[in-house]
Amino acid sequence: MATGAALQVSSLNVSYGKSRALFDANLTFPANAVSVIVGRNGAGKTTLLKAIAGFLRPSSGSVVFQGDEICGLRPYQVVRKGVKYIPQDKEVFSDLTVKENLELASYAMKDHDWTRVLRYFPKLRELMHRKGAYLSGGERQMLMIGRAILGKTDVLLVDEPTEGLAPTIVQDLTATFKQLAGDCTLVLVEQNLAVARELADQLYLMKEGKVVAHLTDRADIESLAFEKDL
Amino acid sequence: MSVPDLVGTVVIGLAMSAIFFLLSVGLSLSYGLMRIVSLDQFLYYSIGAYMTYVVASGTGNFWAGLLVGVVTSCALAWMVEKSLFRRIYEKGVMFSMITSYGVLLVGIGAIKYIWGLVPRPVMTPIVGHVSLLGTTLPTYRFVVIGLAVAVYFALRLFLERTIVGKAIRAGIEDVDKTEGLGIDVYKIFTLVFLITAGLSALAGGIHAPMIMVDPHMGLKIIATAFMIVIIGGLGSIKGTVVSSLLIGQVMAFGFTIWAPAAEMAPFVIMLLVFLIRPTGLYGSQYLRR
Repeated sequence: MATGAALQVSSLNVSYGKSRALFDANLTFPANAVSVIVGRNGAGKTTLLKAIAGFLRPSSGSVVFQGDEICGLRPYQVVRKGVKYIPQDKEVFSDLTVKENLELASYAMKDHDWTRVLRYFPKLRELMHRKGAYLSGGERQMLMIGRAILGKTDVLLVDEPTEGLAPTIVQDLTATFKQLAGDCTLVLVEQNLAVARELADQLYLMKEGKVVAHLTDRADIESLAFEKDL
Repeated sequence: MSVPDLVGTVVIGLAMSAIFFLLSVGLSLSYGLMRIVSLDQFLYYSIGAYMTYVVASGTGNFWAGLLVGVVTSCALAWMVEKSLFRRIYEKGVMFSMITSYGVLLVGIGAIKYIWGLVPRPVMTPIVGHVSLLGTTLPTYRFVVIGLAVAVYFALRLFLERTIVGKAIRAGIEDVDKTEGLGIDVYKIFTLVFLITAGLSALAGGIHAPMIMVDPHMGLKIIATAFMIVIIGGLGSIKGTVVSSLLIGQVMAFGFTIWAPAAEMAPFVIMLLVFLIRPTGLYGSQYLRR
């Protein structure tokens, strides 16, 4: 694991109307490491990622990326700084082809690298002219990651990437994430504990909107000491 | 109905469809992308007509009037979008509807103050006639139809071949995910707002010689325009075309056969479409915000 924080979340609070979803969240995501956040449904994992990515406006707290405060920025501004968010719904633009989906990502990011995307996901080359509506779940996930890493990507926030995918595709994705970890900081929300164990350099457990455990020791992660809490 | 009557009615219907299409296609894109009901577009429709009237009356050049109408409307729309809509995009549809209705009423008040309540005639730029299957029809109606066809193909090219057009299509599907790619969607919103205003003004300007321009002309066409948007499916250009053609013909034949049917029949069509396809003829099942 590399040293130095790529992303620092401090005392982050998020509410949906009068209902609080995140309570004083404090997390540090080291550069070029894989951080995995686990927890039951409703634990606040997605809320945390959305707040970092600018899709939710926190009621208080701070998110510092490479020394700059990004809390309160609009999502496109966060993206342009190099922090990308991949939601869990695996929805791509159904009316656009794979190529057009990628073109849109390259339109916003001036330093796009198509070769890199096709190196990670060679299958996308043969799907270039297929519309998003006709892609399988695994292909959609490839496209979503491909769109995200097309331009400058320092931090990749991925929400439940393996949910609903076939075991072989999960294996491929896990291998891809391992490769990607060399290029950028990965923050994964993951319910699949086997994947979490395999990928995590550090692991956070969330429960009812709070961070309740933080594991950095490999042996602790392997044994997933708080598995009973999930 | 004789063949000449039939041909005449179809062409009149097509000319009406052309006006409806120009007025509705921007509304459809606006709602599809920004989830706003922009009633102020009917003010730009009126301004397009009035500026055409003013310039055409003063200089004798109808086309210059049309251009001035489009430019004036776009300038006004730009100010309205920057000062009002930027603040309410994230609020509910009702908010945009009431705010834009306020803008429309203020604009109508200004038109009444400047030009009075009396309807004004606008010169027809092309006075010739075309003989077709036993009937004689004004050449201008064919020009109107041709103009709408040209706008349709230009819009299709823009949306399908340019990257900004693709961003608009993506935004219509999911605006959050479009912004999640690093695209400043508010810039796209402004562009679509201006395109809508320009097309509304164009519709008003070319409609002006076929009707008398009057302060309430925008209010009179609101129901028909929104009906076309809804029947076609929100955000769908193809749907707006089909819907405009349908309503244009229904109204033209309604006027020819039994006048009250012209007002009633479009609503019957809308209800029938809703029974079969609640999202409209070409409304996307993927549309979300």
